[in-house]
Amino acid sequence: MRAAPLPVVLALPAFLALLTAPVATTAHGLDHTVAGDHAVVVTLTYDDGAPFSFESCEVTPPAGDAPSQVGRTDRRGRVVFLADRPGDWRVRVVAQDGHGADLTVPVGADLLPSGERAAGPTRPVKLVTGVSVLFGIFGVVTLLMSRRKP
Amino acid sequence: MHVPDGFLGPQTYLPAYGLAAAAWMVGLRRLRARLDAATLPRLAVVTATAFVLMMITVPLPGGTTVHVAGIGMLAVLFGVWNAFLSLSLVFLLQALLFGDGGVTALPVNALAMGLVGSLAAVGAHRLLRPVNRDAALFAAGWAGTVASATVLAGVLGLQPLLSRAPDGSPLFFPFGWKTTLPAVVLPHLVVGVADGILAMLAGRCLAPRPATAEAPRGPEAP
Repeated sequence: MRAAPLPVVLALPAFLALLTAPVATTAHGLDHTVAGDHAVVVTLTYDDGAPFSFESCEVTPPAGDAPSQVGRTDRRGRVVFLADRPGDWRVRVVAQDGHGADLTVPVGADLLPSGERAAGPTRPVKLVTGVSVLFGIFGVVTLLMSRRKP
Repeated sequence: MHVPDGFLGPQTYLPAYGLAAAAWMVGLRRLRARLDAATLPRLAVVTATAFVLMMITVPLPGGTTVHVAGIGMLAVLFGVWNAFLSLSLVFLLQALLFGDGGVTALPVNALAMGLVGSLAAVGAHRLLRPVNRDAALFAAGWAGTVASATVLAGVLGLQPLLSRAPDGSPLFFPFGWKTTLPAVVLPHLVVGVADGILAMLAGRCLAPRPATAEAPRGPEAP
Protein backbone atom coordinates (compact mmCIF):
# COMPACT_ATOMS: atom_id res chain seq x y z
CA MET A 1 0.00 0.00 0.00
CA ARG A 2 1.33 3.45 -0.96
CA ALA A 3 1.78 5.98 1.82
CA ALA A 4 -0.05 9.34 1.53
CA PRO A 5 2.04 12.16 0.12
CA LEU A 6 3.70 14.36 2.74
CA PRO A 7 1.71 17.54 1.94
CA VAL A 8 -1.54 15.63 2.54
CA VAL A 9 -0.27 14.26 5.84
CA LEU A 10 0.62 17.76 6.98
CA ALA A 11 -2.53 19.37 5.69
CA LEU A 12 -4.95 16.98 7.38
CA PRO A 13 -4.27 18.00 11.02
CA ALA A 14 -4.24 21.64 10.02
CA PHE A 15 -7.63 21.22 8.32
CA LEU A 16 -9.09 19.45 11.38
CA ALA A 17 -7.73 22.12 13.69
CA LEU A 18 -9.39 24.78 11.57
CA LEU A 19 -12.72 22.97 11.67
CA THR A 20 -12.75 22.43 15.43
CA ALA A 21 -11.31 25.81 16.41
CA PRO A 22 -14.65 27.38 17.41
CA VAL A 23 -15.59 24.31 19.47
CA ALA A 24 -12.25 24.30 21.21
CA THR A 25 -12.57 27.97 22.02
CA THR A 26 -16.00 27.42 23.55
CA ALA A 27 -14.84 24.48 25.60
CA HIS A 28 -11.66 25.81 27.11
CA GLY A 29 -11.23 29.51 26.47
CA LEU A 30 -12.93 32.49 28.06
CA ASP A 31 -12.87 35.83 26.35
CA HIS A 32 -13.69 38.95 28.25
CA THR A 33 -14.30 42.58 27.67
CA VAL A 34 -14.11 45.46 30.10
CA ALA A 35 -16.37 48.47 29.69
CA GLY A 36 -17.94 51.12 31.81
CA ASP A 37 -21.72 51.14 31.83
CA HIS A 38 -24.62 52.71 33.68
CA ALA A 39 -25.87 50.23 36.22
CA VAL A 40 -28.76 50.20 38.64
CA VAL A 41 -27.38 50.12 42.18
CA VAL A 42 -29.65 49.10 45.07
CA THR A 43 -28.02 49.56 48.46
CA LEU A 44 -29.41 47.72 51.47
CA THR A 45 -28.60 48.48 55.07
CA TYR A 46 -29.97 47.50 58.44
CA ASP A 47 -31.64 50.13 60.61
CA ASP A 48 -28.38 50.93 62.31
CA GLY A 49 -26.67 51.56 58.98
CA ALA A 50 -24.78 48.25 58.89
CA PRO A 51 -24.61 46.90 55.32
CA PHE A 52 -26.71 43.89 54.34
CA SER A 53 -23.55 42.13 53.17
CA PHE A 54 -23.10 38.85 51.32
CA GLU A 55 -26.76 37.84 51.46
CA SER A 56 -28.71 36.07 48.73
CA CYS A 57 -30.24 38.26 46.08
CA GLU A 58 -32.07 37.83 42.80
CA VAL A 59 -33.11 40.29 40.12
CA THR A 60 -36.15 39.59 37.95
CA PRO A 61 -36.96 41.65 34.84
CA PRO A 62 -40.37 43.22 34.19
CA ALA A 63 -42.97 40.54 33.40
CA GLY A 64 -40.28 37.94 33.77
CA ASP A 65 -40.94 34.56 35.30
CA ALA A 66 -37.35 33.70 36.11
CA PRO A 67 -34.60 35.84 37.62
CA SER A 68 -32.08 37.27 35.21
CA GLN A 69 -29.48 37.47 37.92
CA VAL A 70 -28.88 35.58 41.14
CA GLY A 71 -26.06 35.96 43.59
CA ARG A 72 -25.17 37.80 46.74
CA THR A 73 -25.03 41.39 47.83
CA ASP A 74 -21.52 42.79 47.98
CA ARG A 75 -19.59 43.81 51.09
CA ARG A 76 -21.39 47.15 51.17
CA GLY A 77 -24.80 45.54 50.85
CA ARG A 78 -25.28 46.45 47.18
CA VAL A 79 -27.13 44.71 44.38
CA VAL A 80 -25.87 45.96 41.00
CA PHE A 81 -27.51 45.07 37.70
CA LEU A 82 -27.72 46.30 34.12
CA ALA A 83 -31.32 46.70 32.99
CA ASP A 84 -31.93 45.75 29.36
CA ARG A 85 -35.53 46.90 29.25
CA PRO A 86 -37.66 49.56 30.96
CA GLY A 87 -40.30 48.65 33.51
CA ASP A 88 -40.58 47.48 37.09
CA TRP A 89 -37.67 45.25 38.04
CA ARG A 90 -37.98 43.07 41.10
CA VAL A 91 -35.06 42.85 43.48
CA ARG A 92 -35.35 40.32 46.28
CA VAL A 93 -32.76 39.96 49.02
CA VAL A 94 -33.02 37.28 51.67
CA ALA A 95 -30.96 36.38 54.70
CA GLN A 96 -31.22 32.97 56.31
CA ASP A 97 -32.46 34.52 59.57
CA GLY A 98 -35.53 36.05 57.90
CA HIS A 99 -34.21 39.55 57.28
CA GLY A 100 -34.64 40.81 53.76
CA ALA A 101 -36.78 42.76 51.33
CA ASP A 102 -38.79 42.32 48.17
CA LEU A 103 -38.39 45.55 46.21
CA THR A 104 -39.76 46.99 43.00
CA VAL A 105 -37.25 49.14 41.15
CA PRO A 106 -38.78 51.21 38.31
CA VAL A 107 -36.43 51.58 35.33
CA GLY A 108 -37.04 54.23 32.69
CA ALA A 109 -36.57 54.26 28.93
CA ASP A 110 -32.92 55.24 29.42
CA LEU A 111 -32.49 51.94 31.33
CA LEU A 112 -31.66 53.83 34.50
CA PRO A 113 -33.73 54.00 37.70
CA SER A 114 -36.62 56.38 37.13
CA GLY A 115 -36.26 58.58 40.16
CA GLU A 116 -33.76 57.80 42.86
CA ARG A 117 -35.17 56.57 46.13
CA ALA A 118 -33.78 58.30 49.14
CA ALA A 119 -33.24 56.39 52.36
CA GLY A 120 -36.29 56.10 54.62
CA PRO A 121 -36.79 58.13 57.78
CA THR A 122 -33.88 58.10 60.19
CA ARG A 123 -34.13 56.21 63.43
CA PRO A 124 -34.76 59.30 65.62
CA VAL A 125 -37.57 60.34 63.28
CA LYS A 126 -39.06 56.86 63.48
CA LEU A 127 -38.79 56.87 67.27
CA VAL A 128 -40.49 60.24 67.73
CA THR A 129 -43.17 59.49 65.15
CA GLY A 130 -43.94 56.02 66.49
CA VAL A 131 -44.07 57.05 70.13
CA SER A 132 -46.23 60.09 69.29
CA VAL A 133 -48.70 58.00 67.29
CA LEU A 134 -48.87 55.34 70.01
CA PHE A 135 -49.53 57.88 72.75
CA GLY A 136 -52.08 59.57 70.50
CA ILE A 137 -53.97 56.32 69.95
CA PHE A 138 -53.91 55.41 73.64
CA GLY A 139 -54.93 58.96 74.52
CA VAL A 140 -57.98 58.76 72.28
CA VAL A 141 -58.93 55.37 73.77
CA THR A 142 -58.54 56.77 77.29
CA LEU A 143 -60.75 59.74 76.42
CA LEU A 144 -63.41 57.47 74.94
CA MET A 145 -63.36 55.21 77.98
CA SER A 146 -63.57 58.13 80.42
CA ARG A 147 -66.61 59.47 78.53
CA ARG A 148 -68.25 56.05 78.54
CA LYS A 149 -67.61 55.42 82.23
CA PRO A 150 -67.85 58.78 84.05
CA MET B 1 -37.59 39.28 63.98
CA HIS B 2 -40.31 40.92 61.85
CA VAL B 3 -41.09 39.04 58.66
CA PRO B 4 -41.25 41.42 55.65
CA ASP B 5 -43.60 41.33 52.67
CA GLY B 6 -42.84 38.85 49.91
CA PHE B 7 -41.51 36.12 52.21
CA LEU B 8 -44.82 34.39 52.93
CA GLY B 9 -47.17 32.89 50.39
CA PRO B 10 -50.94 33.44 50.39
CA GLN B 11 -51.36 29.87 51.67
CA THR B 12 -49.81 31.19 54.86
CA TYR B 13 -50.89 34.79 55.27
CA LEU B 14 -54.56 34.42 54.28
CA PRO B 15 -55.37 31.80 56.96
CA ALA B 16 -53.17 33.77 59.35
CA TYR B 17 -55.27 36.89 58.72
CA GLY B 18 -58.41 34.90 59.53
CA LEU B 19 -56.90 33.53 62.73
CA ALA B 20 -55.47 36.89 63.78
CA ALA B 21 -58.78 38.66 63.06
CA ALA B 22 -60.57 36.25 65.39
CA ALA B 23 -57.88 36.77 68.04
CA TRP B 24 -58.09 40.57 67.65
CA MET B 25 -61.85 40.40 68.16
CA VAL B 26 -61.45 38.35 71.33
CA GLY B 27 -58.75 40.70 72.58
CA LEU B 28 -60.82 43.83 71.91
CA ARG B 29 -63.84 42.38 73.72
CA ARG B 30 -61.72 41.56 76.74
CA LEU B 31 -60.11 44.99 76.57
CA ARG B 32 -63.48 46.73 76.63
CA ALA B 33 -64.74 44.54 79.43
CA ARG B 34 -61.73 44.55 81.73
CA LEU B 35 -59.44 47.47 81.03
CA ASP B 36 -59.98 50.59 83.12
CA ALA B 37 -58.86 54.15 82.47
CA ALA B 38 -56.22 53.87 85.19
CA THR B 39 -54.45 50.96 83.47
CA LEU B 40 -54.48 52.48 79.98
CA PRO B 41 -51.74 55.09 80.60
CA ARG B 42 -49.48 52.37 82.00
CA LEU B 43 -50.20 50.15 79.02
CA ALA B 44 -49.45 53.10 76.71
CA VAL B 45 -46.10 53.75 78.38
CA VAL B 46 -45.02 50.10 78.34
CA THR B 47 -46.19 49.67 74.72
CA ALA B 48 -44.20 52.75 73.69
CA THR B 49 -41.21 51.34 75.60
CA ALA B 50 -41.50 48.08 73.69
CA PHE B 51 -41.68 50.04 70.42
CA VAL B 52 -38.53 51.99 71.30
CA LEU B 53 -36.69 48.84 72.38
CA MET B 54 -37.53 47.14 69.09
CA MET B 55 -35.82 50.02 67.28
CA ILE B 56 -32.55 49.47 69.11
CA THR B 57 -30.78 46.81 67.11
CA VAL B 58 -27.59 45.11 68.19
CA PRO B 59 -25.27 43.62 65.57
CA LEU B 60 -24.24 40.00 66.12
CA PRO B 61 -21.22 38.15 64.69
CA GLY B 62 -22.10 36.87 61.24
CA GLY B 63 -23.68 40.08 60.06
CA THR B 64 -27.19 39.85 61.45
CA THR B 65 -28.82 42.22 63.92
CA VAL B 66 -31.18 41.48 66.78
CA HIS B 67 -33.32 43.46 69.17
CA VAL B 68 -35.34 42.88 72.30
CA ALA B 69 -39.11 43.03 71.90
CA GLY B 70 -40.52 43.41 75.40
CA ILE B 71 -42.99 40.58 74.85
CA GLY B 72 -42.51 39.09 78.31
CA MET B 73 -42.61 42.52 79.92
CA LEU B 74 -45.99 43.34 78.36
CA ALA B 75 -47.45 39.89 78.96
CA VAL B 76 -46.49 39.72 82.63
CA LEU B 77 -47.68 43.23 83.39
CA PHE B 78 -50.92 43.28 81.40
CA GLY B 79 -51.86 39.72 80.48
CA VAL B 80 -51.80 37.82 77.20
CA TRP B 81 -54.61 39.59 75.37
CA ASN B 82 -53.59 43.15 76.19
CA ALA B 83 -50.00 42.30 75.25
CA PHE B 84 -51.23 40.76 72.00
CA LEU B 85 -53.25 43.86 71.09
CA SER B 86 -50.45 46.25 72.06
CA LEU B 87 -47.83 44.36 70.08
CA SER B 88 -50.19 44.08 67.11
CA LEU B 89 -50.61 47.87 67.20
CA VAL B 90 -46.83 48.31 67.26
CA PHE B 91 -46.39 45.94 64.30
CA LEU B 92 -49.14 47.72 62.38
CA LEU B 93 -47.46 51.10 62.88
CA GLN B 94 -44.06 49.72 61.96
CA ALA B 95 -45.45 48.16 58.78
CA LEU B 96 -47.55 51.13 57.67
CA LEU B 97 -45.32 54.03 58.69
CA PHE B 98 -41.83 52.66 58.23
CA GLY B 99 -42.05 49.47 56.18
CA ASP B 100 -40.54 47.44 59.03
CA GLY B 101 -42.28 44.09 58.73
CA GLY B 102 -44.78 43.48 56.00
CA VAL B 103 -48.49 44.19 55.76
CA THR B 104 -49.12 40.69 54.42
CA ALA B 105 -46.89 39.29 57.16
CA LEU B 106 -48.63 41.35 59.88
CA PRO B 107 -50.90 38.55 61.16
CA VAL B 108 -48.02 36.08 61.32
CA ASN B 109 -45.86 38.59 63.19
CA ALA B 110 -48.76 39.42 65.52
CA LEU B 111 -49.68 35.81 66.20
CA ALA B 112 -46.10 34.60 66.63
CA MET B 113 -44.80 37.42 68.80
CA GLY B 114 -47.98 38.89 70.23
CA LEU B 115 -50.01 35.77 71.01
CA VAL B 116 -47.67 32.78 71.14
CA GLY B 117 -44.89 34.83 72.72
CA SER B 118 -47.24 36.24 75.36
CA LEU B 119 -48.73 32.82 76.10
CA ALA B 120 -45.25 31.34 76.54
CA ALA B 121 -44.24 34.26 78.76
CA VAL B 122 -47.28 34.01 81.02
CA GLY B 123 -46.97 30.21 81.11
CA ALA B 124 -43.34 30.35 82.19
CA HIS B 125 -44.16 33.03 84.74
CA ARG B 126 -46.97 31.00 86.30
CA LEU B 127 -44.84 27.88 86.34
CA LEU B 128 -41.93 29.45 88.19
CA ARG B 129 -43.64 32.09 90.30
CA PRO B 130 -44.19 29.73 93.27
CA VAL B 131 -40.46 28.98 93.21
CA ASN B 132 -38.92 32.41 92.80
CA ARG B 133 -40.43 35.71 91.68
CA ASP B 134 -37.37 37.03 89.85
CA ALA B 135 -36.68 33.72 88.15
CA ALA B 136 -40.29 33.63 87.00
CA LEU B 137 -40.05 37.13 85.52
CA PHE B 138 -36.76 36.32 83.80
CA ALA B 139 -38.16 33.08 82.40
CA ALA B 140 -41.20 34.96 81.09
CA GLY B 141 -39.02 37.34 79.09
CA TRP B 142 -36.77 34.59 77.80
CA ALA B 143 -39.59 32.20 76.91
CA GLY B 144 -41.60 34.89 75.14
CA THR B 145 -38.71 35.73 72.85
CA VAL B 146 -37.58 32.17 72.15
CA ALA B 147 -41.11 30.88 71.53
CA SER B 148 -41.78 33.72 69.09
CA ALA B 149 -38.53 33.10 67.24
CA THR B 150 -39.25 29.38 67.03
CA VAL B 151 -42.70 29.92 65.55
CA LEU B 152 -41.39 32.45 63.03
CA ALA B 153 -38.55 30.11 62.04
CA GLY B 154 -41.11 27.35 61.57
CA VAL B 155 -43.36 29.50 59.39
CA LEU B 156 -40.45 30.76 57.29
CA GLY B 157 -39.02 27.27 56.85
CA LEU B 158 -42.42 26.01 55.74
CA GLN B 159 -42.53 28.31 52.71
CA PRO B 160 -40.33 26.24 50.33
CA LEU B 161 -42.63 23.28 50.95
CA LEU B 162 -45.81 25.26 50.24
CA SER B 163 -44.98 27.28 47.13
CA ARG B 164 -42.68 26.34 44.29
CA ALA B 165 -42.36 27.46 40.69
CA PRO B 166 -42.72 24.85 37.90
CA ASP B 167 -38.93 24.57 37.80
CA GLY B 168 -38.89 23.68 41.51
CA SER B 169 -37.47 26.95 42.80
CA PRO B 170 -39.15 28.41 45.90
CA LEU B 171 -41.52 31.28 45.16
CA PHE B 172 -41.25 32.95 48.55
CA PHE B 173 -38.82 32.46 51.44
CA PRO B 174 -36.27 30.01 50.01
CA PHE B 175 -34.69 28.39 53.07
CA GLY B 176 -36.08 25.32 54.84
CA TRP B 177 -36.21 24.41 58.53
CA LYS B 178 -32.63 23.10 58.59
CA THR B 179 -31.54 26.65 57.89
CA THR B 180 -34.19 28.79 59.56
CA LEU B 181 -34.33 27.07 62.94
CA PRO B 182 -30.66 27.59 63.80
CA ALA B 183 -30.42 30.94 62.00
CA VAL B 184 -33.45 32.46 63.74
CA VAL B 185 -33.67 30.64 67.07
CA LEU B 186 -30.01 30.51 68.15
CA PRO B 187 -29.48 34.31 68.21
CA HIS B 188 -32.74 34.68 70.12
CA LEU B 189 -31.55 32.33 72.84
CA VAL B 190 -29.11 35.15 73.60
CA VAL B 191 -31.60 37.97 72.99
CA GLY B 192 -33.95 36.15 75.35
CA VAL B 193 -31.52 36.81 78.18
CA ALA B 194 -31.83 40.55 77.59
CA ASP B 195 -35.61 40.23 77.34
CA GLY B 196 -35.57 38.20 80.55
CA ILE B 197 -33.65 40.91 82.40
CA LEU B 198 -36.02 43.50 80.97
CA ALA B 199 -39.09 41.56 82.15
CA MET B 200 -37.50 41.16 85.58
CA LEU B 201 -36.82 44.88 85.90
CA ALA B 202 -40.26 45.79 84.58
CA GLY B 203 -41.98 43.30 86.87
CA ARG B 204 -40.15 44.70 89.87
CA CYS B 205 -40.49 48.39 89.05
CA LEU B 206 -43.69 48.75 87.04
CA ALA B 207 -46.08 46.20 88.52
CA PRO B 208 -48.81 47.89 90.58
CA ARG B 209 -48.61 47.59 94.35
CA PRO B 210 -51.57 45.56 95.60
CA ALA B 211 -51.20 46.95 99.12
CA THR B 212 -52.13 50.47 97.98
CA ALA B 213 -55.87 51.09 98.16
CA GLU B 214 -55.90 53.35 95.08
CA ALA B 215 -53.61 51.16 93.02
CA PRO B 216 -54.93 49.71 89.78
CA ARG B 217 -55.32 45.98 89.40
CA GLY B 218 -52.30 43.72 89.11
CA PRO B 219 -51.26 41.71 86.08
CA GLU B 220 -54.39 40.55 84.36
CA ALA B 221 -55.36 36.99 83.80
CA PRO B 222 -54.70 35.88 80.23
